[in-house]
Amino acid sequence: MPYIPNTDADRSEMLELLGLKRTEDIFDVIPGHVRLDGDLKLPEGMPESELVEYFDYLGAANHVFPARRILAGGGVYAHFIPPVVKELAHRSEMYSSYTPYQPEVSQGMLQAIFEYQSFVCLLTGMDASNASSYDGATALMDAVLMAHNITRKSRILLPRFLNPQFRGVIEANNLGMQLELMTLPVDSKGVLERDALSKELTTDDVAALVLQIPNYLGFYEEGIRELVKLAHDAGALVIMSMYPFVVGVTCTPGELGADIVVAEGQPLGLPPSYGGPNLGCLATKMKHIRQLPGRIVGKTPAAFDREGFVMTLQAREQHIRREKAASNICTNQALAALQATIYLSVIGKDGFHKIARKCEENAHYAAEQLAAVEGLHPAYPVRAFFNEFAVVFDDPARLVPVRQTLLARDWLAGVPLEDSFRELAGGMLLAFTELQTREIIDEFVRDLKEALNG
Amino acid sequence: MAKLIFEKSRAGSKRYDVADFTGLEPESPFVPEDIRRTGPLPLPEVAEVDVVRHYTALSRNNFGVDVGFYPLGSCTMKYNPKVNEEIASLPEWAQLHPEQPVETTQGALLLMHELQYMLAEISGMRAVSLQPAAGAHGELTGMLMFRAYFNDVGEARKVMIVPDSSHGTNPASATIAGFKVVHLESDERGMVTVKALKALCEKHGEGNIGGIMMTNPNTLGVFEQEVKEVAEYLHSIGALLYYDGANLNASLGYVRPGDMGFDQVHFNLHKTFSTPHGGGGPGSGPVGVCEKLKPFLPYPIVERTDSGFGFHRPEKSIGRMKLYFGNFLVLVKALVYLRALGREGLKRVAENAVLNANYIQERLKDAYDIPYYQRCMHEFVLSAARQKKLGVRALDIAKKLLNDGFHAPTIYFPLIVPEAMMIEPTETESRETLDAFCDAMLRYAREIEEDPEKFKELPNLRIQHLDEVAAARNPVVRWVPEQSKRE
Repeated sequence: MPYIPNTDADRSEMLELLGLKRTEDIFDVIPGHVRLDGDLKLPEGMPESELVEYFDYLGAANHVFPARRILAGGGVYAHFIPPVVKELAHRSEMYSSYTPYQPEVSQGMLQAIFEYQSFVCLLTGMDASNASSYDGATALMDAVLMAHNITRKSRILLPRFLNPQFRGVIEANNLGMQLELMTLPVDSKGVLERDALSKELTTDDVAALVLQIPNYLGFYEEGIRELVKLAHDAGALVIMSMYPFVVGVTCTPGELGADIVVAEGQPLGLPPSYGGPNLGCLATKMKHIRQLPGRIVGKTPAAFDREGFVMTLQAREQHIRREKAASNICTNQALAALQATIYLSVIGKDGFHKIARKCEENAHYAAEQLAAVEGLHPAYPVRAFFNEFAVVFDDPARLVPVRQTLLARDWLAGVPLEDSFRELAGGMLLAFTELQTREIIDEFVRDLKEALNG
Repeated sequence: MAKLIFEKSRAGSKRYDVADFTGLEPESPFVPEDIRRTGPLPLPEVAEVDVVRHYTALSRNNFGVDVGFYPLGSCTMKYNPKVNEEIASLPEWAQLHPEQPVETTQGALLLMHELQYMLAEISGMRAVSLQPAAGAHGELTGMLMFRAYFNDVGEARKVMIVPDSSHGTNPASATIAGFKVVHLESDERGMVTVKALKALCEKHGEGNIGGIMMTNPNTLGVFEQEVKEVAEYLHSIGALLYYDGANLNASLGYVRPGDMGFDQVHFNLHKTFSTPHGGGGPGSGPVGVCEKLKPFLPYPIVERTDSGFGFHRPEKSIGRMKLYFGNFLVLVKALVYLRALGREGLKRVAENAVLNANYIQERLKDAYDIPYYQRCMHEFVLSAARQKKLGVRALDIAKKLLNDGFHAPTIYFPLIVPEAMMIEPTETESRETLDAFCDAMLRYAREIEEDPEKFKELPNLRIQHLDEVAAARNPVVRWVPEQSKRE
């Protein structure tokens, strides 16, 4: 039997010590009326050679797009991952360890998490990060709950163009939280309506204004600093959800006035993985650290004048506080956090800023080329955007067949928008990363034109 | 403490090339001026070889299952088969984009469908959602579904019962889902009894009881003898039963939560099904439910249709708990494991896990107190109360194990055992390893009696006595660029 080292001889000697005869006798304390009658209806086990074959067979039923022909994002992006990242993140001393509750033998993982927290603080402009949340969406849910706990207020203002899955996660969790979720409207140009925001803020019961940078459609909300000021003047906190690479070209959310920052960290060295595991980044200001959910690693003195790392502020956590805990989170995404830490170390300062600029440059180049294509138009008139933008087919019925044609040419072209934003029927969100060249983009535009004319 | 990666930075030591990069200006012309970045972030600049040495050094300073015995109770630190890792990292799984149309991901859907089926069969449940990212996330999903179910039938049941031996996540999850938590006392065997349960329910009003969250075997490693009767009673008053799957390893193929009367269960794929713990995650916490809770499952669920596999949203779904379809690559690893073991293999897992735990318990039972001594399942809890009288705590024994090359058991949990040490060996350890551990523990018991102060010396641990109080009082939780400049 795979993975079980004991021999029959071992077992019989061990059973003898227990005064038992057969291995299954070990279960004789289980009341007969709850025991399974018969066998599980499961297949028989497979030797490794067959396993590998079977999963090859399953995998062959998937189509893997070449990474640079993936022009879809929506939260998960195809960036290049240097091979050294996978190699290091797969060190089994790291992945086969548990949460580092015993610091004496876990300094490696603890230090890596400390470095992760430091990277997150640098990118978000905050001064305290947790050791990770499940993903960007649950991190935002954590942030909302935090804002409610800090302000003791119950209204949450969400922007119209928030990632719809992030909104979905907040809504599902709100079944228990019972907060009042309000969506801020946009005008016909896609701009958040300032008057509506001001009006919402007059009631003095707003816990947080949530902003996404860039928003789901890829552009920056207009006058972010003013929006932040309006919220703060009304006693509300500001939560920002960011694309990690955006701060290669913009100020950090901290510099823009955010109180809590979240991010989906997948672009930082994790493959798309069909949407998981991803990485929830969650950071805040030092004054709110005791409301921050999840594990936190801190540096501290140790014997012999040494310094080391420990999990700290555990009094916030469920294993100590039980029903009074700041959150129920226990297992997190530590290995994904390690991978992001290694990735950021590998690309370094030079790589981070180059990648950010190239993502942006590619998207703008593509938008320019597409502007000349008959049959589609930008979802909204010129807005400043990062690496994603929305286009709408003049004839909304063309979206499906055109995407299908492009699919046949090995393009994963855009994320359809109609399901989430009814006013954007026939719209799709196109994403670009550093992986495209102008040549690739030109080829895409040619193929798109042909598909439209075909 | 080793230097931080930030402290190894040297300006100009790392150039990163991006294809078709045309020497763009450092400042973006596309960002509105009021939010534009004007100088680079202070990220480290470290040559690749030094990054490799840095993280290799960190890994050598970390204890995993691949380093040694890891009897951490409640955590099921079994061996992580390498074939899981190998398969899950293939581009056919790792490079799939979640926005691909399902026609291009039929292999992934088939895989998830198969896993949904196998988990349902193993647990005796009717349907499974693979979405939750961890055990606690599964619990929260379950509690929200209980809430949705009671809303749907028009009942405002607010009370959730958790036994005093339960995992801390149970009360925390129930609270976030809007339940008021009440604790149920175990009896002298460490078990839940219908008598105590009934008294508690009557005290809070039977009509207010939403349900109970239980682990079986419980955190003492004891199989709950009255579980079926507990279920019958709770169902008779309209309440629901939640099964925390943390201890499922003990009963694979022998007992199913559904047959015990549970309405919902979560699985910890990173425990029972060998996908690694990853130093704290990612895990995966799928939930399984009985027929009447099926409509409330989070979406998407994979279903077989006439035109292949597709995603489905249950009619009264609580919504989405996470991005996309769960921690997909963890699901891949769990299915590889299940396929490797198959029907008979799962039973062997349970048998050997339980046998190994009982063997250790039997060898240690005279040297240490075992407050709830009886046949255990996959784990048991001993108490260092006797040693504490001599001045040696469970904590000291744990550190001594670290000093001697073992990982420590879970300590000070469950809360109902003083100086608790919760030991779970798992089935993937040999008798030889178990004996080495038992020999050490028996030697400790003698050494503590002879010279408790000398026992506490830890000559092999380079770093020890980390000041946790100072860490919490004055949290230093990140590297600060300015500070390093001053240094």
